[in-house]
Amino acid sequence: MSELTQELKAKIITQLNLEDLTVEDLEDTTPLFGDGLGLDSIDALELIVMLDKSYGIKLSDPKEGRKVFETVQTMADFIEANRK
Amino acid sequence: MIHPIPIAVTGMGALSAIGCGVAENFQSLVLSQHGIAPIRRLDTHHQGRLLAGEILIENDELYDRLGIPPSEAYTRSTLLALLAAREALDTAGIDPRYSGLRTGLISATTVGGMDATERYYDDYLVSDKHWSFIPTHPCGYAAEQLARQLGISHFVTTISTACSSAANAIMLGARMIRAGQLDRVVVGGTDCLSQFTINGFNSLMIYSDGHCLPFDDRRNGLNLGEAAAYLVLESAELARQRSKTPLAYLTGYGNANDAFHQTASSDNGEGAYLAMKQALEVAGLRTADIDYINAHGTATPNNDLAEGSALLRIFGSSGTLPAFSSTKAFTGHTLAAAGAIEAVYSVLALQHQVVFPNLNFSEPIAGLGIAPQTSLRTKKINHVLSNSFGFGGNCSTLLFSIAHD
Amino acid sequence: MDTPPYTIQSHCIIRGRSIRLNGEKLFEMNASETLFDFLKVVYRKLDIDYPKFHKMDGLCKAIFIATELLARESGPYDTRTALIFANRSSSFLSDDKHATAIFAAENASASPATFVYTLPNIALGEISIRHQLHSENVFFIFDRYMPDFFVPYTHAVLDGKEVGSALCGWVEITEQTCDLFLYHVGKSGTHPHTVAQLKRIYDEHE
Repeated sequence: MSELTQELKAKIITQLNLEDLTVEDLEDTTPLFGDGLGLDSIDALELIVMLDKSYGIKLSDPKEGRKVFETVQTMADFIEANRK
Repeated sequence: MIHPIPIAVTGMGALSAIGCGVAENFQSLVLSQHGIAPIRRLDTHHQGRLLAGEILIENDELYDRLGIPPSEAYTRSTLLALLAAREALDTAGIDPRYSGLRTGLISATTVGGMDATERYYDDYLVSDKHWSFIPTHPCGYAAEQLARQLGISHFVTTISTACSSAANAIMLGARMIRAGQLDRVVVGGTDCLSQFTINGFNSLMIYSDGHCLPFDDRRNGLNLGEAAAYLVLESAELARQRSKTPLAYLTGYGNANDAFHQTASSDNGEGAYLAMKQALEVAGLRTADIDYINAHGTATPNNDLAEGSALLRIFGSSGTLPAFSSTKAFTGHTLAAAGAIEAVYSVLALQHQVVFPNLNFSEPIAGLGIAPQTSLRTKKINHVLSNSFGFGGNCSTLLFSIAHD
Repeated sequence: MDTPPYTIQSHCIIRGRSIRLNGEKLFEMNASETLFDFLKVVYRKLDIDYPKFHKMDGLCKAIFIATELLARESGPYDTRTALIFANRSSSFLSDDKHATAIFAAENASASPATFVYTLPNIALGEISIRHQLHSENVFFIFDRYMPDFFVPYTHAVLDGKEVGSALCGWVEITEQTCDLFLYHVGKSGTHPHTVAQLKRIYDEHE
């Protein structure tokens, strides 16, 4: 499981151009949106594209994404449960 | 106080999914006949799935109608623009080549020559057959071809500010006449459908999988459309000198930045509010003077909420809000052409004293309590507001007023 | 001829391999640096804390940095500062990136973050957000920098308004080259806002 969270952190940082952040800085339970990392709606869409391209999971409703993308941990849990 | 020169609209031309020519567009609006259907003309893997407002005329036929030899490279956006601009000049009764006046062209586009590049790019690398299309790619090229065809040389430019582009072109035209820099100007915009924009909007997840529902609580995105529309503007005095009755007057305009997000509007529609406020100020009118608002109304969850909030802020309450509608459920969102095609519809509203219906509406947006006009309505209309809000927070509003006989 | 009421309060040129503020070279690229790496280095040197910078495309980054430098020189900007920009290539850098992604032979897909930047006026949105400018803003497509258009247009926008302040820019940026000329028009300062002055400044460091 921790291998997936490590992989996810690296992907998130690259995909979303979070230049000032390292994998070590990003904790499993830091809120990605709102007060934590402060990601926005375009970032959410990029994460949806990433879920599809890297893990074969299609999210068609952006609102569903908010729950899935709460933290790196919730993302990892979702991927484990749904990956092809 | 210096009174600004009245700006007369003396000609207009339009092509959209609901008609080739202004008269056809008007007929469709009056009969509630929209032009939104599953994509069939454009070659895209979204064909059959996504709906759009396509102009069902092939490029070959556009060349024929214009009398342009097929060997010359004209992109679809330019072909559509030429037809619309020619109609505008015809109805204005002018030919820039012989008028002896300082005539300008201010055009707007976001797609530019992208449709040709999409079709021929791979080909460019293996054969020189379509190389004549290479120069047509940039945004500014269409205006130059248009100007050459129409015989306009005094001033030619392109504005590219997303969905408010054509409104900004119209605004600039009026300003240049008022500043004494031009006598007459052809203003408007054109955008054809392209894989570039369809894929892009789809990736933002604001492309509806059904018919768009402007101002409805269940709305879930836009339908794209293609269109070209142009107006001819000149000073009222110039029109009077040649006994040309204006179709309407452009009395107000405003532009402001929302400064919130690259592609979303602020919750209270600050940019929209400021643009509408400025248009009213330029026209010297009060909110009570407005009889109809042709809204931007793209049917995205964000725009309609922000625009609705801004409307309530400006007009005070739902009780004092004039009749409003979005015509995008007819034509689709035509991007850089939107401000122009909707300017044409605003002038039609004044000429025929009708408010056009907002199709596909049944439930008001929760928390706003406003409902658009859903059927064609005849009423006394003296002044119309037309909104066009673009990505990058670029918000523009035009105000058209009736031309009394 | 009357003295023009407007002045060029500050100007920034990003061209060749350097950034100049009011004619003085502030930063210079290393031989091996790309323009975009260079802009990132300058961002850090200026100690700007604005993580969204990293999401911007090349056009936006260049405009952002130049706007920041001018703000520090002759700002802060009034919220009603007008924005009047132009270039030749529109948003080509991002257009190319988006087109390449959606037409890829394998794994074609659209990146929403890239698509957002496929309009030249997004840059105006970015600096409006950064400096809270709720002002009139426009982006023209011209063949080349045209001060003979910019000057009367700027005056038309500013005349009669309470706030006489505008940011004007010619921002032609491609993969290999950057020809950026940004200037802050206002009412204080010594350089009159005229076509001759602008041509002089623009041509000086060709």
